[in-house]
Amino acid sequence: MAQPETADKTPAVEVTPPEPRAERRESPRGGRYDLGRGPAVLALSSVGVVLVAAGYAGGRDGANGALVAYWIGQVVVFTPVVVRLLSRRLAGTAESFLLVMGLAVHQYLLKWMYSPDQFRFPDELQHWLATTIISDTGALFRPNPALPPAVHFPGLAEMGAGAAALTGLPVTAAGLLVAGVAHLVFVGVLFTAVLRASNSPAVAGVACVVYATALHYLFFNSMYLYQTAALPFFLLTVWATRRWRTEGGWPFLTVAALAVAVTTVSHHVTAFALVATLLLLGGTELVTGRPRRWSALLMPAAAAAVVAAWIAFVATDVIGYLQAPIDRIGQSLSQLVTGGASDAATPGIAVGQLTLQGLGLAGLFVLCAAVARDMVRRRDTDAWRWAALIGGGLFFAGNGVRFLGSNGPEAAGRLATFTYVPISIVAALALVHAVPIPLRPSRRSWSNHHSRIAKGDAVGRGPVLRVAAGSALITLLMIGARVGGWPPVGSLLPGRYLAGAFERSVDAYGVEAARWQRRTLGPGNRVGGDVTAVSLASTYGRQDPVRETAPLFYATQWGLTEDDLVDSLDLDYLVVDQRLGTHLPESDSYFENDPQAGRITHPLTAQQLGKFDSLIDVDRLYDNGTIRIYRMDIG
Amino acid sequence: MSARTARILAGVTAAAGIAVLTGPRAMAVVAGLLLGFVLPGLALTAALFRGRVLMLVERSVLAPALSLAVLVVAGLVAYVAGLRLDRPVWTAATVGVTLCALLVPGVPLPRRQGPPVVPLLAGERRSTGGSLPPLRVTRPLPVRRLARQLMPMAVVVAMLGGAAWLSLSSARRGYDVTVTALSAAPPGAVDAAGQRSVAVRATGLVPADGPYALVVSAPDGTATERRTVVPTGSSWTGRLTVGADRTTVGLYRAGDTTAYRTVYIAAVQ
Repeated sequence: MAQPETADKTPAVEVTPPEPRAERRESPRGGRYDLGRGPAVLALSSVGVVLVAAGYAGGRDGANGALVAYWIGQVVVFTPVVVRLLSRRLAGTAESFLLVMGLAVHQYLLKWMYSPDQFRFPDELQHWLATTIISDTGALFRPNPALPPAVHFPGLAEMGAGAAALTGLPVTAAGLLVAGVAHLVFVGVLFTAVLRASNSPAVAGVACVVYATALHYLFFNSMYLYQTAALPFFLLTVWATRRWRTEGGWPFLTVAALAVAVTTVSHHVTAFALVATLLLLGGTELVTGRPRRWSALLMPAAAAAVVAAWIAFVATDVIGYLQAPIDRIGQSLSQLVTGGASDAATPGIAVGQLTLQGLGLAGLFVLCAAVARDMVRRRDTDAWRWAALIGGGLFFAGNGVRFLGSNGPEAAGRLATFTYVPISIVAALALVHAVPIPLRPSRRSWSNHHSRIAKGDAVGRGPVLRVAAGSALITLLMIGARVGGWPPVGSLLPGRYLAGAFERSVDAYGVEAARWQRRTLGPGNRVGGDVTAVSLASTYGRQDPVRETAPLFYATQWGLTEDDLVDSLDLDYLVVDQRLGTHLPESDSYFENDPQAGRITHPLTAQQLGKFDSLIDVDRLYDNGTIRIYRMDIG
Repeated sequence: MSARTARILAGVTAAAGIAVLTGPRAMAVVAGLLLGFVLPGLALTAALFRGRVLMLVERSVLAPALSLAVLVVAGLVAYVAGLRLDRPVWTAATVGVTLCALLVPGVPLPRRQGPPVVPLLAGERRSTGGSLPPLRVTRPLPVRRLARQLMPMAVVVAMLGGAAWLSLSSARRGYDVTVTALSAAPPGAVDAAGQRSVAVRATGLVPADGPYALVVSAPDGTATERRTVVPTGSSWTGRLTVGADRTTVGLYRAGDTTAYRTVYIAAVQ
């Protein structure tokens, strides 16, 4: 990450630096538009997309070998691009960018093909509803009972509603387009930011493919969720801030300010992460820079002020919304320190999954340690490189959060969305520049060369070993991310109904029942049920979700306790899916706030599910053979 | 951006605006995509960074990013202004921003000082950009070579198209099941005769399973009413009159001895 840059200014610049010794990647044989073998590599990668599509189709049909096709496809999509990016024959920026964006398109298609006809993941449905509300009412900040905090972060919904209105497409199609464009912009800005910072198309490309192995990259960061809309602007702020710091000028400042604003009105957690990131970048610049430039703190201060103002005056409910999960993690941490018993079990993680991810993490740690050692030895003063290293350290610390209670894995995944950016850059630096790996004193490096990070050279005597080892490591990380990320291992392929399996739990029976609620009951009734029933009722059904009804299902007999709970929840309707009596939950729980989460060993009994029929003062108003809907408030 | 390019872009923007508001569906989709994801960002990038050189990579990323930002900011401004966020407003906002941004290059640039020169540290050197070439292309675009290199992209498009078709068709096939449901609206109030009126609806009726029958039963299981269901299309709607006691309504397929679908109307409290 050579700093500062002055090359892209047209006015006369007084500095006339010597022409650097060009590496092959920086001087494409065919000129600046040389695409090299990029298109051919992408053609090979696209075969993987077809294989995954065949795997998905096989999963829906219950065909044998579908999972094999899926895994082969995942590797074929990913690994050829990685190998080419690590290769010394990479033509230059054009090929690197084409490969990275092509891979991003392919991987977005992998996400889309899982559920191509409709949104199924609960959070996507919530944002589909938020967008639909804007399209229907023509106004922002309208109540959204499915996800109340999203009302005050309308960025994504505005994009979706705007795209739907301009194109005339349905909200689902417009949402898929917006999510896809936002995802591609995110990858593009990551490439651009790293390219500017490292001045190496190989480092930029490898950083992007390493980032593509983040746990949430393939699904959560490309779903129609408000974080997907905020992430590109998070990185755009970083890119613009860097260019403003190195070159000055109001255009970059304007873009940075605009990006801060859009991030802030799009997603709370991303906005907080943006402030923290800018603080880290400003802090390292302040510490490493001589003379000290206090102006480095201007952008983080401005971002903090914007975010604080939005939360203080508009999104006042977000603190309460985030308080509960933070409290739970704090409680788990406290119990861990004091040795107390935790009431929220950490979800069990398979040994194989842990091994895969552990190996990948170990590889990343070695690369990170090698870069750190190299920087210390060279007394590196590059503020942004130090920031990347510190961010990488935070990534490893954040991985510990996954073991803190039931919210741990989700919190760790969310944290990794941001901390995986610096660790990707550090890993790319190490892999491309062949940083000496201190394995053993006698064989401490992959090459005998001194580190060339600052010089931007990509050399080494073991290029084949470097490409092979690097590709293997990144592919391992990708496999680990697919195994430990989303969807869960049990529902990697789409297919028939599974209980408590989010997308896999959404089928025609549930959707029809939800649509009946809206059509017949009207909106705004308080409706409870299992996770999927509540999700569908609150979105397709436009009902007010009640997420605390698990005890009503687990009771074997109806009594005063259940009557009291119905009264206290002000419950109007209860949706009962008969399949809870035949399927164990894929996600360790049937319900939100499930008191039996992680301890369910058998499906609900016929007595538990059938007791509602014996209640003489309860209507059963809907029956489609699978879903039954009871009216609980007739008294 | 040259004046000629700006004029072309302005023309495309105006045409896209007209197509969105009055054009046929297919044209509106294309025009809407341009206005939503490309044109405002393209114009803003040109306006903001005139006189500065950006990499093609940066421009290609900034165009959609700033276009998305325009949608967000325009939505907030329209909301504050009390405007309804509908197609004309979105169109006016995106077209307006694009055209205004295209006017900016006509304004002369203020005199700008050279960039601040940050002192280099020992052992460091100033980057020349290396792989970040200037925007102005002095060499002609190697069209033939690019075309040759891009030929495999035809395979990519074909593969992705095939994968998309396969996924979409299999997802639709998997989802496309007939859901036969019997439902009742919440019953009305009891009338002077102690009766209640209930709207009942059966949907997803399959002709091969018919004729369907609707049986209304008292609490003791005695059938009080039996109707043959004659669906219109695949659904049937009717109105039943039931007493104050708990009532069972069952839907039977031809040959069924137990109800295929059942709803209960609770007793009056």
